Amino acid sequence: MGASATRITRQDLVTPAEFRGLDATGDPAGRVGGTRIELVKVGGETRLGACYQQIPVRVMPPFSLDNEPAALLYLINLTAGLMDGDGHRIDVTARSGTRAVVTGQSASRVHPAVNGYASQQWSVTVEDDACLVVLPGPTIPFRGSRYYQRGRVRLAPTASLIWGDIWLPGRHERGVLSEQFQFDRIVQDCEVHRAGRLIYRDRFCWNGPWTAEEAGWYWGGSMACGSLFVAGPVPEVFPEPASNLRRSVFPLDTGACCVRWCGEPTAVAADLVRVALQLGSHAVAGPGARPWLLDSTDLAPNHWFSAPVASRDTA
Amino acid sequence: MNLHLLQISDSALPISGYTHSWGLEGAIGLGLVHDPESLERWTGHWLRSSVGPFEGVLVMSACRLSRAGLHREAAALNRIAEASIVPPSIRRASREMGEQLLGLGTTWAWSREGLEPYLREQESEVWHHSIVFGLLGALSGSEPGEVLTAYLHQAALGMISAGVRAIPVGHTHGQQVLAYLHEEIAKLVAEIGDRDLETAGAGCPFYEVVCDEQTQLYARMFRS
Repeated sequence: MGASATRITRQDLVTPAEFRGLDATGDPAGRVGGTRIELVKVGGETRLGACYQQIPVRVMPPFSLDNEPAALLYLINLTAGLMDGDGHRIDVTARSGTRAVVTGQSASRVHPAVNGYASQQWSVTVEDDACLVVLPGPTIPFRGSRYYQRGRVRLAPTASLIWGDIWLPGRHERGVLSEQFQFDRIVQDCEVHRAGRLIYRDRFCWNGPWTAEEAGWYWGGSMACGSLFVAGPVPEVFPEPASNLRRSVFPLDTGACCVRWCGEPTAVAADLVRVALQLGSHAVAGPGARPWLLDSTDLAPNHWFSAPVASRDTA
Repeated sequence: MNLHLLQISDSALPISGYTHSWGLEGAIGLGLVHDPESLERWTGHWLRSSVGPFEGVLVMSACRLSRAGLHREAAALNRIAEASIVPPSIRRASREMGEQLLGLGTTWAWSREGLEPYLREQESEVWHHSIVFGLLGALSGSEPGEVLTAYLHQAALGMISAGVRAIPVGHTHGQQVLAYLHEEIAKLVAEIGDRDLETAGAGCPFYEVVCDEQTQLYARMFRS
């Protein structure tokens, strides 16, 4: 069985200062699960090495598509989303030489909190000459939800990582039942270290519900915001974003790069994913290489990050 | 009255401070800020969501660590600032102002000796303004809450002064805006005064985009 089969418990989860005192353990519906994944290079492909999974999180075996250098690995939550008290711990180790995209199967719905909060906590290690793209998928915080997202990333000196987050305001397309910015509290806590040195830190606490004025301040009145962290080679010029997007590229002095988006949800998701997969390809194959996965005929256009068919037809 | 704290709280100190607007010029360019009322709203949001929860917590942490004699830990706060401030224009502003304030501090009789252990620290290659302000605040003999109040006040005044020049609004209006924000500053100090260092951070993606768009304006007055 080994250490990787050790059950994930609430002791493996961290409570941020903002949620101390909330009762996550006493909620009978609260469920602790997660996965530990090792990605290894076998021949020219990236495959699963050691893998432990604990409900409600499940791991799909990685897809290796023809003419695609990166494996596609889906993490699946078997429940309807993150309930009050749920805690998922996801550990990923990308061994040397691997290329992979790790993503959720859909948006993460964060349900209303009663006594506690929901959490997803990542620990990611990327070894030398590996390139890992992590796209957890959009987060939809419901009315009264509390959510803590934690990421701790350790990069070897020549490792590449691209990590993208997309935040939506809630269930916003339900007519009169829409919820926008009605969450209770969201805490984001991400740190990236390369060779032991802190190179990026994204830490915030959003206290809701937000007024329209507050939503204007934080997201510019948009229905989505996105953030991409890039540790690895970055092209000098990014492709132009769609006109209904605001996008800014921020070089960091630590050698990394960060990109932020504000805009319409579908447009933010499509552009963020396209940039992420382009950067993955750029990190491995250099300038001019086509983006990973997006142009593959083996990938059906039904993923959360697929460009809407209507958009394709009219493009 | 603590004259040392009063001096470092001058929004014109260090001298380069007047060249920065911390994204305000970008907001003016977008039409988001155009009069005293909108300047007050913009500055209030900035204090509550960005300066207070991020730099404010760093100021308090630097001040407390300095008072406890934990020089290395205080200097290491610069790494957090360096890795957290995303817009290059704001990061440079924070760094330049920090290093200039540190340089001035090494020339003042009341702070020179106290800063020596920090200058020996090799942990930090750069010094950010909030951290140097916290250290000097501690060396001035002030309580952490007073230092935080002074920091937030000088930050608000710096933003308003940029607005007075760039919108423009009259100096009297500018002082009125500052006065209206006093209650906000006191509330923020009470809210964030006891926060853990781990909470230091600000998530304002649109503000960061505005800071970036400012650097692309055809003509501009400010460096940030």
